[in-house]
Amino acid sequence: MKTLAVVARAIAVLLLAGCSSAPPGPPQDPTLARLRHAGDTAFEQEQPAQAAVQYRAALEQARIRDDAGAIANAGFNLAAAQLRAGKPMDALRTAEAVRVELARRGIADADFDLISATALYRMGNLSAADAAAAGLTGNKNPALADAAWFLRGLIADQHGDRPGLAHALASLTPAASPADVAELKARASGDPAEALHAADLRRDRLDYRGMARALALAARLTRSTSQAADLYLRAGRSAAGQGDTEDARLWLAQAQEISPDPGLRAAATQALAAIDKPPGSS
Amino acid sequence: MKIPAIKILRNTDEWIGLLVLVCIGLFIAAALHAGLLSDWFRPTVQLRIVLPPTGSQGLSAGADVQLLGTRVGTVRRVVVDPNRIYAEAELDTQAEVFIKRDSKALVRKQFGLAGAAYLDISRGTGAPLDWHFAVIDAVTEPDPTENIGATVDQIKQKIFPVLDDAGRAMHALADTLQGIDQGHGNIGRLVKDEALAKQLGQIATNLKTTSDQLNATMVQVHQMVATTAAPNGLPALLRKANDSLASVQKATHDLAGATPQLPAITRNAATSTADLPALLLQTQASMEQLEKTLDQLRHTWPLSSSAGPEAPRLSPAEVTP
Repeated sequence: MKTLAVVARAIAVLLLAGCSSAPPGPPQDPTLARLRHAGDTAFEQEQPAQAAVQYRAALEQARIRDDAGAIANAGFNLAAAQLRAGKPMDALRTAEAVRVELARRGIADADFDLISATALYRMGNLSAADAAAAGLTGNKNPALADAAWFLRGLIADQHGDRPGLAHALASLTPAASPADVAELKARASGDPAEALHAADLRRDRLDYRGMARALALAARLTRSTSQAADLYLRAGRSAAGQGDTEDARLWLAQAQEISPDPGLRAAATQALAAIDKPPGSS
Repeated sequence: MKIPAIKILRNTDEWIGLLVLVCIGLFIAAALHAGLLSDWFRPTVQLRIVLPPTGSQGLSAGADVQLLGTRVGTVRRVVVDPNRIYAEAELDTQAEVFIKRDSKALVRKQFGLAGAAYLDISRGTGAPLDWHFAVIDAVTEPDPTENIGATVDQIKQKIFPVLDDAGRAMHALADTLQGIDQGHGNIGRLVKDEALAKQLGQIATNLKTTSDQLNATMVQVHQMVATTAAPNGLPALLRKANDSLASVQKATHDLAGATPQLPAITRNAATSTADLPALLLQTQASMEQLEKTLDQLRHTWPLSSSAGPEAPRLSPAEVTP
């Protein structure tokens, strides 16, 4: 009986300890928190345009609050959502504006350099993107440095710079994304199986844009014409569905051109027509 | 008997002296009347006018010097030296205040093209002249005959090309008429070719036939209009339209009956929508409370280990190329 009382007392103490809440921090702006939360939810649900709207409102609220940290966070989130929505020019403008605003307060935020480098890469300005990414490779944040090295690897591959690609691959830290590592390995080795592995990893991470790029890479590397055409068709359809019409047109045209299969050619033609005339338009 | 004659001879010298004095007196009176003496005693100033290298246009000693249209002096002499020609003029001192360093003397003719030359001095506004050695420049008035000659040249330059063009146009017209006369070109063929004339006649005949057919068509149109105006034509159509309008009128009447209830419906809708913002605010507050509750629940044992703090910023990994 005495033992039972001791056990009950211990359980009560544990329950009381568990019920204690964390020490309260500084009071949060509920509007800012709600907008950020709404933006995060929209971003996670693959609605980057809606997320951008929420993040823009959060940025305005942060400016009302005159909170440099909140401005930086909302600005980064807005630029990332604009990139995800396929608006690299808007993302570049946002990053530049917030960077200047923070610089006036004596704050340097390297995350915005990653936004600028990625936006420039998306717009095809490879030299400027490489220069922006080069400034991030020495960053003490491994996530930033790995992202910069991956971007530089992609640019080196597009320039045909094999040593540069190998250097970028070797510079990735162990914490780098396995999908990034696999894609750079595929580009360096020319192995289509590695590219397909990278596509699988991208799919698991819900990075469908990267997956389409890896599929197109596998199509480029594979020797079988029919398989390459199939991969190009898959990559093109995925890109078209995400609104990346430029890459979609390129890859679907490749599929149409090299495929020996009339059915696949017809599918590619149909997908190209759907890009030019989206459903709902008369 | 010769004694009286000797007396007359004795008074001759006095009479002659008296006569000389009278003559001198008359001479002085005439000179005063002619104004010569006033000229002698009138104060004057000397002015040198450097004449233009193109010539003096007949300016000579004795020529008038005018200032603002008023004669103020005379040219005393025209001096020609190897370097320049200048005139020396004598002016009234009254003209000093008007003649400055920037004054110009213009050599003019009395009647424009002809007449005696004179100097016309313009009124100056600059620094005053040093009247101990006053010098100004003169210019000549442009010769009107030069302007006339230039105008005639311009007219010649304009007129002769027009005359040349007119000559060429007349020549081309003559060629064209000659070609028409010889039967060249469409008009020439039309004039000379009899077959073409026959075709034109045929066309006129066809036109007449077409006109007759058009008249027949118009008659048919008249008949059609008359048929439409008949009791089975347009009036029947109008009756149907009248019936349709009556139906519409009935529908409108029903709508008018329902209209009095519209304000009440609108009021209800307005009341409902007026409550919407408050309802939304309450919903928002409830959601916020629910979110706080969930957040506290997440931080409550045994769920606290699974709830991490909400990151204020997206991960850089979300920024993908």
